[in-house]
Amino acid sequence: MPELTFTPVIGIEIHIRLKSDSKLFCSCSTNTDAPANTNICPVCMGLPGTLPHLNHRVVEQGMLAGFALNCGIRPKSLFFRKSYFYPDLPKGHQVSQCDLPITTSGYIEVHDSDGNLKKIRVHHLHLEEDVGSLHHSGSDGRLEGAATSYVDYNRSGTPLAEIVSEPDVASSAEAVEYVMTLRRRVIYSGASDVELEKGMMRFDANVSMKCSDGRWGKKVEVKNMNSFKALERAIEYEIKRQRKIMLQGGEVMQETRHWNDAKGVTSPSRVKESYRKFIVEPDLPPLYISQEWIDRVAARMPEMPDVKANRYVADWGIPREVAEVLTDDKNLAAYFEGCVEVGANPVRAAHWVRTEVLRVLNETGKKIGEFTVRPEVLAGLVARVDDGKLSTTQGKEVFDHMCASGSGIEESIKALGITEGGVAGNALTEIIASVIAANPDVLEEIRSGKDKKGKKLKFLQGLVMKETKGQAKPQEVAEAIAEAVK
Amino acid sequence: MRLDAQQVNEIAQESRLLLTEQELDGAVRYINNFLDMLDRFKELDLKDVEPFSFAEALECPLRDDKVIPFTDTEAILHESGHVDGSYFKVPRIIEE
Repeated sequence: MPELTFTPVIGIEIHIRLKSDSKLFCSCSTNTDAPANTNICPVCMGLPGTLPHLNHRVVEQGMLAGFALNCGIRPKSLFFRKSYFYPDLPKGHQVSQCDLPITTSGYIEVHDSDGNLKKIRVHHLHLEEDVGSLHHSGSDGRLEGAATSYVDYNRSGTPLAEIVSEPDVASSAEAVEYVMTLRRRVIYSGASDVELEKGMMRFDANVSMKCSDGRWGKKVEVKNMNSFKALERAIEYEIKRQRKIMLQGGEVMQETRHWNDAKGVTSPSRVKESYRKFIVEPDLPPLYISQEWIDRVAARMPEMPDVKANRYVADWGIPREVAEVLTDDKNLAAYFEGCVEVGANPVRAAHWVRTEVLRVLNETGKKIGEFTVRPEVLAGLVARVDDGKLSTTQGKEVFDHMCASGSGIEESIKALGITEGGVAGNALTEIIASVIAANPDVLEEIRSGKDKKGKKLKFLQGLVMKETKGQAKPQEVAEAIAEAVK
Repeated sequence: MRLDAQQVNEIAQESRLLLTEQELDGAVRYINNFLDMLDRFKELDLKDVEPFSFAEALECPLRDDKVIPFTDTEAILHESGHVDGSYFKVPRIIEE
């Protein structure tokens, strides 16, 4: 009997917090770090007699995020009430576009296991409101063993984009590349900062298995992943679990499972999720988006990171690996392009940014926006190294000095006692003369022919290099000393 | 389409409603009368009629992304009988 093989079939749902100052349907601040229940109002608390009022900017953020996923924009979309009996939303329903979303379908490209590009189709992106946060300990921080949970509604009503993929993902590696690429593109679009550590991106995965004997396992929804690592581990765990069941001839149950990051396992969710019914939100008439509005927002879309990296490679001959590092962060790419704009050699500038700038950012824990050496200054430094006015080592010393002191190139060169262009000509001749004068016995040995292995010559060269603070070319020094001792 | 007592009871439980036998009977009858009425629409030929949700041709009004803090959050907390400090209290929900 041939060995059974299994193909995972995975779809991913992503929630991303869209960037805005105020909530989706009311003017409360989106600052979720504020003291509990201070950014709430009758609208987001669902009190009787209130009406939701849609945030113009969030609609545009949704459009930008949609463009980043190669989606089109629907001229008419609609909001629904999704029944939701859970205390983190006080209204008993969540307002969501689920059925008639703001975007049409799109795609994100990832690499399959053979390294070829494949498209993960995006079914759609829709707008919806986030829920509040539940705390299972008391407001005074004490552990609560009693029958109470505590709710903070500051997050309730903040804007989310839900992005639903088609089941095109075939491995945990593809899943991670999909979400990482998607995140980078959404950040570039300006729709969201997608700060993972602030919970701005959360994942659910629908995992099922196809067996080579023709069996199809049921779909299992895995919830509660909020990091790339958690997504990867949860999918791998679920693939193994379902494969084992099917190998033993069992049947995978259709269910929702919860990822437990600490234990590294998924377990059946205790929360029943039947009757998630929708009705049209009667308080929100259809959202119409004109072609003119679409065009206006589309014009704001910056070049996407993968397109940018391809351009660096094709136009400037920058190695692919370096191009990908530079375009990973929009601001880093802008910094690098700033260097090139003022005339820096693109390949040299790319390597400087890739190695030196990133090294200093790493060491200091700063972001590129806080970096004090401006692109035009780095470009000037790169040019001096290129022209041979500074050696590469000196260039790096000057760079480090500028980073640490905040001073410019000239000041740093002066402070480090570096002579641009190095010590040569008369200055070098004078230093050699004084070194020889101070070591008459060495000179005597060389002249009498005792220095057969050239050790004494090397000794003098070393002294001269020391005197020039390493700023003379070794070859020139050697030749000049050989001449002087004749 | 008709719902039986068990289905109606499940919906009631989702809504955190406890119904007596008598109330459940009433609810089943009420809901099924309503569903029967909706079934009558099936007799109409609606092939070329676009579904619509609003009687009037309204557009969703939009507002600027401007923060206007609601100042009386204390009053909202005060409306609830289940408050501890600045938190709302709800029956404990365990989700692992």
